[in-house]
Amino acid sequence: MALKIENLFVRVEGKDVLKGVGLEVKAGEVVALMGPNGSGKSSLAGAIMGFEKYLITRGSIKFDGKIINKCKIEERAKKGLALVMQNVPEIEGVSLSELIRIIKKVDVNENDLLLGNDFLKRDVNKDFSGGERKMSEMMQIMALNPKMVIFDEIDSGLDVKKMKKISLMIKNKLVKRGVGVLIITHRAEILRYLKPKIVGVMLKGKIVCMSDNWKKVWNTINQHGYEKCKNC
Amino acid sequence: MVMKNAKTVNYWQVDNRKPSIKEEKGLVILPSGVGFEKYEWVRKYFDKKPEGGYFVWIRKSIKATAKVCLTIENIGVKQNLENLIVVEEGVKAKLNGSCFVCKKNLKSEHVGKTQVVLGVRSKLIIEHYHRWGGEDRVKMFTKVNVGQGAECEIKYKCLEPAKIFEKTNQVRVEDGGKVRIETKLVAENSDANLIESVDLMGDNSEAVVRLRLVGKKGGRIKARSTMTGKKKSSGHVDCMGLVVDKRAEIEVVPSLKITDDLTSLTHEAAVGRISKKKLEYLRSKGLSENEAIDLIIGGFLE
Repeated sequence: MALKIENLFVRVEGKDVLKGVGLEVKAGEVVALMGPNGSGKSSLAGAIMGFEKYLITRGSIKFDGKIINKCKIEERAKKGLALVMQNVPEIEGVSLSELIRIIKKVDVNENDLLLGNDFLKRDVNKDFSGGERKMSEMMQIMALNPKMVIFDEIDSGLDVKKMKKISLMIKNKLVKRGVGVLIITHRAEILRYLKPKIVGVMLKGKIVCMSDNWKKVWNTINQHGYEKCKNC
Repeated sequence: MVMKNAKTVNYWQVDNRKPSIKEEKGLVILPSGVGFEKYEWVRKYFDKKPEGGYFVWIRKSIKATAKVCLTIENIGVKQNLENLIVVEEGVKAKLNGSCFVCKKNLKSEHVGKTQVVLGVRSKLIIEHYHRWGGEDRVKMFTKVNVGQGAECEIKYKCLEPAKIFEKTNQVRVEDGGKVRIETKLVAENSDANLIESVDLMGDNSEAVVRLRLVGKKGGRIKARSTMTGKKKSSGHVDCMGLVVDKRAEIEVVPSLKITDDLTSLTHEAAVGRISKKKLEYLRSKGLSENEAIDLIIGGFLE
């Protein structure tokens, strides 16, 4: 089971936001994607998931060997693709427990996430703190029993302790069970826990660097900025 | 919610047939025409002897919920109801009302005029459910008087609309009285016109009006909520509309008027479509677009 992006061009409101992106994530593998704001990372995540805004003009997204460019969002989800969005909307009047009951393919032990009943009774994402949102998404992801998960800045807004907890959860509950993970991030801390096999750097809609040494990539970014990755 | 167990219903009228009635301790339930004849004091609430409808007189606090049910089984039935609900001083009660058709396309007419009178320091919660068949005409007029220190909560819900639906509420709240009126309505290939007027007449009286309206295919809803405050009263009007089809329309008009400088009335109103982000968020969890819409509507009407 692999996610393979080949020469992907994506347009949003007449503007090309992805210009020939290629990337592969295999089962049980962690691939990280880094890059400055506006470089196209979230556009790639949205295009993989099939969000309407992202118009594929060239290239392909393959999942399990089949092109899914024209699949509906829910069809992609049913095939085993999942996305944790950076900003999640509130769903008024729908409790987290109700949503999980509707979407779940497997039972989830909420004790794993240390979420109490009171939290599960709350409306989805309504007045959730940054940490609560991420935990809620983790719980949903686990209930979906996916084959491939894209995490779009799962580490943003998390303190070190919570980030460690979520990182270990990704590692132990997903990666070790053969789930492929594409992690989009700005920060190195989460990579320390997840130890990605490959890290890519995205600039202006293109992946300008691919490396199997995330520490080297991070040091370059840290010392010289993203632009330096072009010549790394 | 429709009354599923006939044995628990206190007043059940089918079409215009003689109702079945189950009285309980502390509760008088009669056809309103009978109440008009039996109790002289009841007559002041009617211009003449009513031909249809119920009279509910809650004399003592009751633990069980009083239930009234009006159903239509046959094509072309016209129900013309004049109802009276009286809650005595200090009494606390709950009342469930259901009005519905048993089949689609009965082309029935349901006209209801209801008066609700709450005695001093009494408390009444009314949950009122309607279910119509798409070709029916419904007209409701409800007049509520909330006595001194009394509390009234009215929750109205209709998710299966009539073709033509008109609902008027006139509410008067006396000193220290509180009222909360919640209306949840879906319009689909239908027209709904809601008029609400709440007069906070008494010192420290309070009111909340909450509307949750959903316009589906070909549904048109107009809702006008007027609140008038006097004498240190406070109130809030909250109108929200969700349009889920290009051929649906919702118009909400909250209107506030105060006549002294110690009163505070507020309102919020918003009408919009379901955001694409919410739909895509739910679809990314495996829900189809229609399932996601239904879930969002269900949550909105929660």
